[in-house]
Amino acid sequence: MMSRLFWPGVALLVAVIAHVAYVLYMPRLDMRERLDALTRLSQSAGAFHVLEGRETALLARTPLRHMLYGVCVIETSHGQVEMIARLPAGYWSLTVYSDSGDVIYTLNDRHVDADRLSVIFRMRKDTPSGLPEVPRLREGKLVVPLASRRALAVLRTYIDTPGLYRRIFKTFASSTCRALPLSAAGPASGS
Amino acid sequence: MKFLIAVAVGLAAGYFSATYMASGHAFSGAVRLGAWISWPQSGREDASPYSRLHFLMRGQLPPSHFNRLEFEAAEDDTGNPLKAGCTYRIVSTTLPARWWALTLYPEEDVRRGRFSHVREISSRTAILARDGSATFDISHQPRPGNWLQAPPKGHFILVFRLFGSTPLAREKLLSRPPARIIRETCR
Repeated sequence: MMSRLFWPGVALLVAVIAHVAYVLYMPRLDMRERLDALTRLSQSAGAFHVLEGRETALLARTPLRHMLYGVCVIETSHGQVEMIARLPAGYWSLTVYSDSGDVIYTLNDRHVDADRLSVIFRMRKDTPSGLPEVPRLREGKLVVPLASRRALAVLRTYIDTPGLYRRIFKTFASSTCRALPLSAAGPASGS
Repeated sequence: MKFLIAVAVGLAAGYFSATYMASGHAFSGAVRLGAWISWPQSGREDASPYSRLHFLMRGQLPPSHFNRLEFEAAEDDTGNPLKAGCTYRIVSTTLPARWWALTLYPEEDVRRGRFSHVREISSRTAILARDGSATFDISHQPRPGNWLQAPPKGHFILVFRLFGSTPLAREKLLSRPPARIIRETCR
């Protein structure tokens, strides 16, 4: 009886391991490939790039037709990254994804009434209370602590008036993303 | 030999069970509402791992549940796949959202990552009834009102995206299908 069940048992064990491994690691691999591809597209990590045409497929196979996407691959292994987003009037959203595809942080035009938003990304630090650090405003800049060294910031806006496309595209494309030199990292570095 | 067979069977079973769960079946975190399926917790760190897998397998970053709610449909209300050769009428309820968009994607475009025949109507361009509901027609021939052109061939999917819903509105939205998908005629 036992010998009859042995090989089905082995198959079942392999199935469970394969299932868990696929569910847990496939998203990480997928995100790594995606981040690498977006880094190549932006020429380097920490550069802002507005996606056009088929480039959009790197973010979504089913994108909204009139949605414009701008991305910044954040690499915090060498310090902080500052993103200055130029925001159009009307709907926009900023979503930050971890290297495993989870949404770390998000906000939209209902939360920020401005045409410019400065966000500093840096590695999360330990707090005295032991609770994870949360995003906060410091000297007019939004500081977002990250748990992973790599992340992806996606800025979206919806343009359903074709005549406004070039203008909104130009506004979006003037956003910047850059690694901060250590001396400039002051405001966000204190916890 | 038996070992290799057991490993091969195990690997295949592991892979297929994971993709089955990620397509929105029991315990996957998905909510089925009529022909529509939604992943309301998507993007959250504590969301079901199948929800994350579902979106990434489809080549898409998980939507932030905070910003928008998505509903996908690949079938009509009677369970038949959405076909290019048929005409459909979509009757939406009043959608408690700041704005929404209904998008049609040919399945082949989704698979290949190209957007040659994507059709879309948003709440800013649609003709709405007084109560905020809307009716859409999907067909090859243009129709008056809200019309989405059917792709030339194959199957297609519909995605309803709702932006800026309050938590209370989200609860309401997740209690009933956002729209009925009625098949009219097929050629």
